[in-house]
Amino acid sequence: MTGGIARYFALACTLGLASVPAHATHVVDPATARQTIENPIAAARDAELSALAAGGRATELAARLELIAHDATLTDVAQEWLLDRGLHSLARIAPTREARAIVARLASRVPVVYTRVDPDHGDRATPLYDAGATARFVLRSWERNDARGTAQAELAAGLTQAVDRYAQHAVEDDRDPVLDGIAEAFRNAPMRELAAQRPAVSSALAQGQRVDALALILAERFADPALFGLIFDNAGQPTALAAIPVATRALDASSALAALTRASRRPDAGSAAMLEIGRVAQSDPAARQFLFDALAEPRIAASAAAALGRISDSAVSADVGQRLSQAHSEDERRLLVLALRLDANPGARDELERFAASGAGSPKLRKDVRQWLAQ
Amino acid sequence: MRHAASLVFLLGAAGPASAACVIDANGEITNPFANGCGNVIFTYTENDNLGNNIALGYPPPVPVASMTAVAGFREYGSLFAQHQSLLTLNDEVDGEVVGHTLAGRDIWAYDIGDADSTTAEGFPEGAVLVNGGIHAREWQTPEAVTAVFETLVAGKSDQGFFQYLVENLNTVLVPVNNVDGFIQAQAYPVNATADRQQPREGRMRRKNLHNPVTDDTIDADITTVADNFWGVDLNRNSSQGYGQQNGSSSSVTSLIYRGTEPNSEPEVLALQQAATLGPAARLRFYSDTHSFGQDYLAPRPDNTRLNAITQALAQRMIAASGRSYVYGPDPVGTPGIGTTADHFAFGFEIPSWTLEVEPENGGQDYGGLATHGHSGFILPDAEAARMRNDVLRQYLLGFYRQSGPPAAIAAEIRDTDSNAVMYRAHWDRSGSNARVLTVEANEALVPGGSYRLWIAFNKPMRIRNSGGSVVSYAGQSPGAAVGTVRFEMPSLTGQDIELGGGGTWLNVPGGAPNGYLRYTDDAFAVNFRLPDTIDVTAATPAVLFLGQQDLAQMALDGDPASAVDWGSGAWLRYENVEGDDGDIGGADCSFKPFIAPDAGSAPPAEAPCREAATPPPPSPPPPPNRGGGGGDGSSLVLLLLAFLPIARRINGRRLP
Repeated sequence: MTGGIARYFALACTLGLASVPAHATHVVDPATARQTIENPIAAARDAELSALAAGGRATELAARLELIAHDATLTDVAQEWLLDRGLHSLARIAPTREARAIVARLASRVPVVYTRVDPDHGDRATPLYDAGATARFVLRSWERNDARGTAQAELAAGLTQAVDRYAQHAVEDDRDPVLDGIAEAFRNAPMRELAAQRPAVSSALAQGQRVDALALILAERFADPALFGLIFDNAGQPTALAAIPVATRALDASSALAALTRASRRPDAGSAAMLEIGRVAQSDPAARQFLFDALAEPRIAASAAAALGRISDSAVSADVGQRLSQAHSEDERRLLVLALRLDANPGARDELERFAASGAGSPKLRKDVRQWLAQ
Repeated sequence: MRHAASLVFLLGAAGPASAACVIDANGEITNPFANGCGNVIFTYTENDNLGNNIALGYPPPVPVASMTAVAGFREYGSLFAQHQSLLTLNDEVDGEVVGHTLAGRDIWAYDIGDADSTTAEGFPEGAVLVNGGIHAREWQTPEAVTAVFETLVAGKSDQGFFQYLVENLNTVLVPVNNVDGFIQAQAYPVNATADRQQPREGRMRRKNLHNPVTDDTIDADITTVADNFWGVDLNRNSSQGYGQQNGSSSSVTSLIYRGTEPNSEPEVLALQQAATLGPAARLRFYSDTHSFGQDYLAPRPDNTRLNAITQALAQRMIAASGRSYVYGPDPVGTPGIGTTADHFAFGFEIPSWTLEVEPENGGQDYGGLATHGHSGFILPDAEAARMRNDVLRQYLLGFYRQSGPPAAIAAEIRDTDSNAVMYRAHWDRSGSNARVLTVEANEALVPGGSYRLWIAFNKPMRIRNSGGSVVSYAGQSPGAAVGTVRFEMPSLTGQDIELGGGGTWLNVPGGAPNGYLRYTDDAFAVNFRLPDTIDVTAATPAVLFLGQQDLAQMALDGDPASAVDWGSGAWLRYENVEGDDGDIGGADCSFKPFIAPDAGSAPPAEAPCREAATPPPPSPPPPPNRGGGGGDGSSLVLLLLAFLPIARRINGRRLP
């Protein structure tokens, strides 16, 4: 540590914990806030912080921020703005032990500058800046970067520890920044490195371990139907939902339909899968047939109807109309009417008019159809 | 290389230190079309705050194609398909197009209720109206209102709480009011324009798409910047309070531009048309769902009772949330600023508010960043499901309360040894707002006898968890206990019997003595024994004193003979035990068995329960006049109200 850095760091340390703001909270109007951060003093301090960041001088930058946090010569707006900007800069450079300690202290800082963000908020003001939140973001960013670096090295060495570590952290906290870091390493890794990870990821997912995001990265990169299938059978909802459009992009039509069929069995992603099958059905007869068959399954029937409607194809509209004319139950009629209702094709309207003229269906259904046709 | 990288880094620092947009003290951008202001496009990211990127600290949500709810936000087309599906597949859902946007898109309102317009007893139903999606960037709100829609339909046959709401209330929903704006905001899920401190257009569009030059729509392309600041603030366009109190602007680029005249916007007219589905005359509740701030912002017309009811209702709903909402009313009598809540509060005299849902502060409430205060409009995907449930809990409680207070409508006492019915009485509808009490059986109860008391109400009084146990509704106090049940013998001293301790709510069908009347937990039963030592030598009147609260902490209607309704901003015919009309209710003493030393005795003359017989404390003297002729009219009103209890009370019964 150079003499200058040491001096700043020592001064910062003697100030003790950085968490207590120097100013009481107050609500500032936007013009005042803008003028404050544009004045030469604040701009000059900002430039100093930027220069330190540009030089990758994390300890000095953090120490300077801790001084700013206690600088009573600064207005609260300038103080909070400088802290926010400086912390964001810190997030982008490699931390030092001293910088981590300072940022950890800043992480408990409470907001002091508030503003009225939305005209409907009445007297309720919200923080314009929240340096404590930004400090916590910085700590997470560093943790994510560290995890990415470690995982990159492991991937390069053909090791699978990153998969185990991902699974372990996912159990404890699915918002753990370590997970993001490992996933970033996977995302950026060359195919040959990922190939070595496939068995470990597949095995972990099949055993119910929460390696969802890693599995999706591999599934897409390798266009792997088996891995998509495992995702739809085992992964959590967020990954299953994310995987639905990816499966359509990455796989051939037949494999995509098979994968989406598995996804359609999930209560938490079935509707999304059906709507995606509807997109596939624009050009895939097998997908269309799947949707028609799904009308008989109560859990996904409504989504199947909507998916058929979204195809917006005159042949499909005619097929739906034909089935409607032969429907035996009110439930079946309602689903087919729903499909026509959501179908923008002019042929769908013709089919609804035919249905209305037939007099079939319950009074409620007939009323609804009349209403739609009247619009 | 390092120097060049540093230079790039400097140039890419988070946001220009000297921003091109000029913002005045009122928060208005005064140079919206200036180069470097209106033509700046920002991108919301998870972690990147460089240049024109704005980090949130979590992934910015992207709309999902799914009809059913997901851990995130559904695209408009999927929400619409879900609404239409619920309409088509359920008899209990009606819907109609109540207006068209400037782009020609339909604005739908849906009403959820059974086919008739009466309660299960046959009285006129009340109605509630909830609006969502009026401000385009507030993505929480269409999801929250859709959750209300989905949940009511899913529970329509649950034999309990939800079926009660469907059969006894008409719920009108406008899940997406500003369809054009919402679609525009969803088309740009990660982009906004202008200024970090006041981002506009794209993801941060607030207003509708009204082009003030052509009176048509602005284009959907945010890179054509000349129209990015245009549109009308639909929550400043209603006639009540229009243009008043500096709450809106006449500048077409303002975030709170009120439009050229009141009710100029089709979306506002559509909402007013939706109110007619209640129908309008039956409305008792209006909520305009917004984000964010966790506030109930309530107009307060000059109607004391309405304002008190609104506050009590809001506070019960707030208690049902898992988050710290606050109640933020306007000063009494201020005319409003043209919000939809102003329209309904003043025009309809019903509890009305702008409900700002979560977060309280911004994205930092979820581990993210403050982002100049605007991250609150971008709820993380991971919070969507919990947010929906939290807002749903509040709304359902509010609907339940405004469906009307509870009334005890049936009672039965059986001898547990012989199973003979000793007392059976029930209140039945006899007119548009009246009930008549029919006493089918009234045999003497004897000291030493063992009996089972069964009481039924006009609404489910409790809810149960998934394990079948009676629990408190979130944030409300009534739990499993049945509350105060007292067997009073008013002519005897010190011999009343408290019965509530052993009572249980009933969740099996079948009516008396072991089942509910119409809905699970609309009845309770308790076994009791009359002590041998009760000192009676002749037939002696008794009274069942019932002091229950429903699950939303509303007390009983003390006189079931007159059915409660709503009018002029307050409850009608919601009496306390003494028969005094008000908004609090009280206890019920309408069921009057008797005891006698011998079975077979004839019933004696009835007696009031102790609380109804006790004279009220003397009324306070009226406040002195403020001088000048006439004095203060409110003093006269207070004086009248003070005398009403004395004038109306004889033998604890309300005068006809």
